[in-house]
Amino acid sequence: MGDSSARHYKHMIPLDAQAPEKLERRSKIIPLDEAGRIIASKRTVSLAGSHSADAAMALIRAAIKAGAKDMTMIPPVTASIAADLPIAAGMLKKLYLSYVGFEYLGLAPAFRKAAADGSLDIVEADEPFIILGTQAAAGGRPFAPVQYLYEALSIPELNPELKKVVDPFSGREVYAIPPLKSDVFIMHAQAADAYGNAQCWGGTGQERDKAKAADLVIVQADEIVGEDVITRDPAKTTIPGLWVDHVVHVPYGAHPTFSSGSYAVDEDHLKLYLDLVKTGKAEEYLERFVFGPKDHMDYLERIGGLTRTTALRRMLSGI
Amino acid sequence: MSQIATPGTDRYSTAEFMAILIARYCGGDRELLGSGGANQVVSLAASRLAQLTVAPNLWLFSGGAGVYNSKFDTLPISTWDPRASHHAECKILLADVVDNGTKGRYEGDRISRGGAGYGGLQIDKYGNINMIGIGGPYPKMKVRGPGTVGTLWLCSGPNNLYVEHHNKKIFVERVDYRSAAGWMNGGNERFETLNGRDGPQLVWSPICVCDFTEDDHRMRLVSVHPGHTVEEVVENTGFELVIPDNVPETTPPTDWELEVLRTRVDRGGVLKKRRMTVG
Repeated sequence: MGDSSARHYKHMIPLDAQAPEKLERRSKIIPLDEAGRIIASKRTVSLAGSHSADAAMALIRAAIKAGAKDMTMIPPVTASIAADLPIAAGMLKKLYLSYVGFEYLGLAPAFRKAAADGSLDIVEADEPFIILGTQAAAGGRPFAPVQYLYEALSIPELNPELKKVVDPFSGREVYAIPPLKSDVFIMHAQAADAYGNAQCWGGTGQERDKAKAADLVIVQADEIVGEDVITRDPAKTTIPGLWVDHVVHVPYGAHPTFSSGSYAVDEDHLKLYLDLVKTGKAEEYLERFVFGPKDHMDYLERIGGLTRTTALRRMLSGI
Repeated sequence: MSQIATPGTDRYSTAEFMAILIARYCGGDRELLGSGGANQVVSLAASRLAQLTVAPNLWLFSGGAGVYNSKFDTLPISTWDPRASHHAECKILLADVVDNGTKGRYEGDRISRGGAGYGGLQIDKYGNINMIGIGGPYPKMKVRGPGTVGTLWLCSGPNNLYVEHHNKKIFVERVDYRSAAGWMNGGNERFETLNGRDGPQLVWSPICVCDFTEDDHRMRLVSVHPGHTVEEVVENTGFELVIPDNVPETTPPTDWELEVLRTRVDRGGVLKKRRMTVG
């Protein structure tokens, strides 16, 4: 039966006796290169953002620089450089595809090339596949059901991860999307505190689900703020710090993508990227902007420094 | 006839003492989720007290309002009281609560749970809880319970049980209905059924603290509060508790604990008026 008095019970020790000399809340801030090494040590990475907005670009560059290889990516339902650059750098082995492209600037060159030469395993997913699969993983649920819709499409023939199950209520066959859990979710935030509370002003609702569906969460933030900012409106906090493992401080860290409410997309830089990759000079881009810069501040110098970042901020007001 | 559970002296109330005990349990610099569902002012007070003294990395979750880390110095009525949101750091959605609960996000080493825990109309010797009702056959019950709410979350991972009244109607041999799984029928049944998720650890009662034996997972007496005796606990428990040879008195509150609680957490004296009973 055991003698319980022999064991250690904390409720028996007064708070006075337990109180540390200095009561300090632990900071979750780590350097960018360390975050890059952590991501590179994982197999599956998930991302938030939308098209060319709010992509965790600094973390992606850091992961590539740290040697990330053969990873699986669960991207947002639409992505441009956040998916194409990792492909150009050989970081990805497998991609859950919903949309990868640059819209009015054209198709994604590294993605097209990898698809053509078969070096990338592409899962023919779509918006519901990624969003509902993420939600299933967020709750640890076995799958996400979808009604008959896919019967009308080619997707069931092309995507072996989509299965059929019988709906116990109607008796009809329906589709089951697998839970899309990830080893690490990386997110761009405009502001975060040192404890992980993060505000993504362009949040699309997928951030929380992707955080819940991940074993590890890393947030990169344009600004590190104090309690006064975070507690002004708790509803503005996109992810509670409890769910966040690490925070990285990278001003203009979403560059060249938009940072909602903070600075505009750097279209000239995206065009430069597209020109180089399309003409077989991806290595040159990687050397100039990923492997070459000694740190994030050096990266900002290489994209045009304060002059360029100030212009990107001003573009928000259309000036 | 039930009696008001009285502490050893009139220096403090039983509710104040329980808040202090639970705060002590939360001590340490690890990240910890201190959660409270509805009507858990003692849990709210305990989590806030722990944050201010021994657990700087505790995340205080006010379940009813859905917010983390509110900074109150006067206890709200309950966790749904909008005042429980005062200077909070993040508001989440019920869907988030459900996801974290079903996934069991907080099991294992990453995040452990502090706070008071779960209670019910009945609690049995294996820590199962009943919020459905007493008697039967269902649905004709002698007492129709309020419903199971979120007691399912006791299935999420390690947690505690919490009662404000210690008597034979609540502490029963076997629950009539199981709205939350404790150690089920004892032994390894919970681990086998719930994919290895750990079960209830401690039981906070107004007259004692219990835990569960390592193998059978039967409820075991750990310490008896000042002013109460082992005999009184046995007499008011509807099943055979495991009683170790040596059952110490629960360490009474210190002046400092009471002062911090009364000046920085419960300035309105809510816990002084909270009624808890035995028998």
